[in-house]
Amino acid sequence: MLEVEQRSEGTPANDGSFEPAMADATVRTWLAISGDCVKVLDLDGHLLSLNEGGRLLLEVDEPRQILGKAWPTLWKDAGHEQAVAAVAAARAGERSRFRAAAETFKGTPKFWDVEVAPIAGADGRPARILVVSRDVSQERRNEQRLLEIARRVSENARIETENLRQLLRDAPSIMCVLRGPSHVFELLNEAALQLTGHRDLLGLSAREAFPGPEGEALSAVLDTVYQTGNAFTASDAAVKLQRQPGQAYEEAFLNLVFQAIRDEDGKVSGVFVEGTDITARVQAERALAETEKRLRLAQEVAGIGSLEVDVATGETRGSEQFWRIWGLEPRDSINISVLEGIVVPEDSGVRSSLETRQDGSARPEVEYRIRRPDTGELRWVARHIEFIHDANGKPVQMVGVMQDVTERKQIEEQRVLLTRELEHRMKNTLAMVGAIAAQTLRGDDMEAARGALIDRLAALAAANDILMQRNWSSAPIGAVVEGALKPHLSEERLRIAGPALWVNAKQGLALSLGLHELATNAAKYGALSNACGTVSVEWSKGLAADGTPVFHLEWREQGGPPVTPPSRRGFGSRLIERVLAADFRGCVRIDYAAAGLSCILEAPLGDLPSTGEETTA
Amino acid sequence: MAETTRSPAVLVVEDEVLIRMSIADSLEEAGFTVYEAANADQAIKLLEVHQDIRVLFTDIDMPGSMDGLRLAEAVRNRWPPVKIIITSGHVKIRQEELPVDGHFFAKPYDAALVVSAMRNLVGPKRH
Repeated sequence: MLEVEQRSEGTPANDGSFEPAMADATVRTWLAISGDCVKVLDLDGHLLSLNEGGRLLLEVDEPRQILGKAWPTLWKDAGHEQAVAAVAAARAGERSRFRAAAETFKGTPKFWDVEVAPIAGADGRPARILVVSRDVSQERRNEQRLLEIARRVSENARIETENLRQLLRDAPSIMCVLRGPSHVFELLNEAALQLTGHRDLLGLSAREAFPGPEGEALSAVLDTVYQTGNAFTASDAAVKLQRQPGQAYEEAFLNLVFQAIRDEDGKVSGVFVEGTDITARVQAERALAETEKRLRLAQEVAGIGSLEVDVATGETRGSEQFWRIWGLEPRDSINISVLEGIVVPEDSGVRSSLETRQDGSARPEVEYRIRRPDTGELRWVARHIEFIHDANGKPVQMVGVMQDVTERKQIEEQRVLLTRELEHRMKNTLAMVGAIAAQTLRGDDMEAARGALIDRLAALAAANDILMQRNWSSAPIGAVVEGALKPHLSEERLRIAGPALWVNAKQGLALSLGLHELATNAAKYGALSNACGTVSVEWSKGLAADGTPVFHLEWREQGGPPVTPPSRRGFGSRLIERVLAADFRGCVRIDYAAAGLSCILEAPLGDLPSTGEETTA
Repeated sequence: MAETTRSPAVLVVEDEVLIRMSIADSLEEAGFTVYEAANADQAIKLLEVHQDIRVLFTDIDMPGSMDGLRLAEAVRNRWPPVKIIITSGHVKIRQEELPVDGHFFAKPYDAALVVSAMRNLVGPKRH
């Protein structure tokens, strides 16, 4: 019951209570200034009075509009029932309190905190009912907003948790959470099932789940992480994965991370394990390495070095073979200026330069000479490059290959030499033909001279043929003799004999021409001019009077008509005596003995090529 | 070939004996006294001995210590009055490679032209 009502009837007491007179004034003042809605009802709940604050709160223009009305009728629904109950309770002398919503007279929705208490009459029994309603709409709205926030937060948290769970479950990485010191599987995502062989390991410890040595190794890692709290990572760990249930296990590679999970106090309570499947990358890397190895091998075999030049800095990188070509120790890179110093100065206009690299005008395919720093050798190199440009079309890199082409160059040079040599031989041969022709055509008998010229040229050609077979280096004497005497070879009275010896080109030509002259003379006047004469051509090795080795060749005619020395020395005999002697650096003697002509050539054996391979021409 | 004759003497230097013989024959028939050498060393020796040599006719491509050009140079220095005619199978001989007043015949040459060139240089006059 309200204290003020009691005190109005009672005796003043020095216990801090209001004096009756003061109480009355206090109540009036309080009613006037109170922001609450203070009403007095009769015991049936009819509204007897209303303070000014109440009138404003209820938005009542005139108190008459509301006075006399049953207070519970101002409420609706739950508020109405609570109001009825509160009035009944007050009538029974009970205080009550409820919170409910009700609109003002002007329809503004409000929420009220209502206190209902009986006011005792003189007999001490409830005579009136005091209702104090406080507008708690703002409070209520705040509460509801908070509630809404709380609800949303909780919903978001639920969604987030669910999302995380889903993410975890569907993550391509292998993820699991192991709890406690014995590492009990608490959570495993789908990907992790590949590692566990699609077994449900929840609730099992690591040692129970993997009893073998692999499990022991895993547990040892988990123990360490659990005890130290330090993360553990393993790169390119080789494992066996079962991609789908029932499939065979495949070799796979994981990057593994073991991370301690800490509770609120910072104490380690579990381990989070994450594994990224890098099998495809590892396999790609292996395939690439294999390809690169193959390419490198091919390049090594072909002697090709590869190179990369950074245009801006001149930094040059190269393969092993590249350094070998340049005669440098293998290294990561070198500045191109060092290489430019190795290129011979005469070829500096051929190689690339700072300028031609920067404007991209360096010639893509060039050959130049280098002086190898390790051996001092002069080598020819061929290099082929291409430019790589940036987005603005500016050359940034020069890439290419390089090869030592010294041997090819030497062959080319040899070919040039050979061509020149051939040209020289041809000129020489033509000069000889000219000389022979001039000598042959000297006489008056042009008909005879023409025949003689053709025969002499044929002898020259025969020797030429034999020499050509051996690259003009040498010829076997037997072949030269047979070639020169070809028109007479069918004659059984021609005897040719001698050891396998070789003559050089000059000697071969001279011998061929000389023998031809002898045979022609024999056919005209000598042993081959009748039916029974014989000719022998024999050669041998021997020793001269002073002991030096000599070559000896003898033409001997027998059984021919009696020989008379010629009245005039013709071209034939001069050719034999002078050309043969000169080209063999020996001496030639023609003996016009009556029984038969003989011609002997004696020359130092050392002037003959010792084998058929030497070039002494 | 006797030095006692009054015909002008020429020195033919050619390692190819057949060619040497041929041009020597032509020159002798034309009335010249002809000395023959197979290389530069022989040529120098002949020049030292035979003061009557008026013309050097030399091939360029020869084995030995000197080729024909170096021989011509040596002759130009030691025997300035001796006229020089050079021959070679290599057509590409630059004018500056030839000695001053040098004449050149590409091989193969026409002996008659060589003879008339010699006559222009030193005679003998034909009647």
